[in-house]
Amino acid sequence: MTQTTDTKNTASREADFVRLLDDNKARIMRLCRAYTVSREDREDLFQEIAVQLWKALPNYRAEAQVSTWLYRIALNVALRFSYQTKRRKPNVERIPWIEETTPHPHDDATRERAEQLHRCIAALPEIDRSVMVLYLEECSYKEISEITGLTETNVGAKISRIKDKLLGCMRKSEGGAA
Amino acid sequence: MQGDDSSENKQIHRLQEMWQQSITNDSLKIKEREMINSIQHQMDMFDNQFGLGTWKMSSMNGFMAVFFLLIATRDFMRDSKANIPFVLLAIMQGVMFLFHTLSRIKKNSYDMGKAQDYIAYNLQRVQLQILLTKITPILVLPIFVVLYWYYPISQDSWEWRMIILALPIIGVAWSVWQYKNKLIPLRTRLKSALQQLNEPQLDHTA
Repeated sequence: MTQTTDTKNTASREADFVRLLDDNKARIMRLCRAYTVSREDREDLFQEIAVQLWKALPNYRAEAQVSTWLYRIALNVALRFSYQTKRRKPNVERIPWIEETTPHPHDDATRERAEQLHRCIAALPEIDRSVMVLYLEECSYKEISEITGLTETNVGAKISRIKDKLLGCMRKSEGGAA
Repeated sequence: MQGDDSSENKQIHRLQEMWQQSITNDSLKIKEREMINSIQHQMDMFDNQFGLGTWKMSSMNGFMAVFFLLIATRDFMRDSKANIPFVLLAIMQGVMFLFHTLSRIKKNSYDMGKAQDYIAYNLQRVQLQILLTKITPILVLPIFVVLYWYYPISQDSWEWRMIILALPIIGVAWSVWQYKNKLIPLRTRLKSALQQLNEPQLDHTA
């Protein structure tokens, strides 16, 4: 009887997990892309995030927003991964994502702009990158503050500064391209 | 100043949209569909060539097995040694019938609307076909030996000896070529596709 209940629980947990991953795979992939420099690393990071989400799923409390819970875990894993990767390959220069085209069904110009946005994000310092990725994902200041552990005021100040930096980077690359 | 803010907000809003559009669940599925389409094409070629698990091949081999068995039984009733090749042919067709039927039955346990199941099922088919390609020469060779020994009238004919010798060699060479150039690459491709699909959409953004 207990075994049947356990099996049911595991099956239900698996179904929840698959649904969670399926609904959020694009969000996770965008985040992975911001913290990795090669496709292999991105695959490893995605897998690591999936493992950590699976482990953390039983502790998820319904009062917290799924996205906040997910981003908190994913971001922690991504930061740790980024740190480990740097230690593993200390002299590796940042490789731009030029060789990897973004698979959305838009024209070349839009695709190129999206690539540039990813490059500009990747060039930000890690904490700024976390904040900006969450901001671009349309998280509120409160959510960003809960996920990153920064105060809301600090988040606001950082976003205002990073926005300028990001727009500057985009303008510069557009100017360079023109 | 207010105008600047509004323009900046617009730009940031566009960046947010662009960021979210850069990788979407739908765009991740595009690669999945492309992969399935390309595998579907290869599986069509596989079906044309081997047809493992198809109704056509299954019924044909079943019919041939019964047909050869009936001939062998008739010869056995007449106490003729000529039944031995037919018994071997019936066994060979029977084994092939089993492979086709087994593959057909296994299909029921897969949901062919799901990419993972479609690839897993076809991987099983290819693995069965590899096994069949390996055992077919073992099943066919005794037939040639028996043909040679039980038709002594033809032993003096060099043409007959050539045919008996050449056919197995051609058959085995053909099997080895199929195994090496068609089946093994297809199995590798299906395995890799299945792995990619089981690691949710890892490989689909490049």
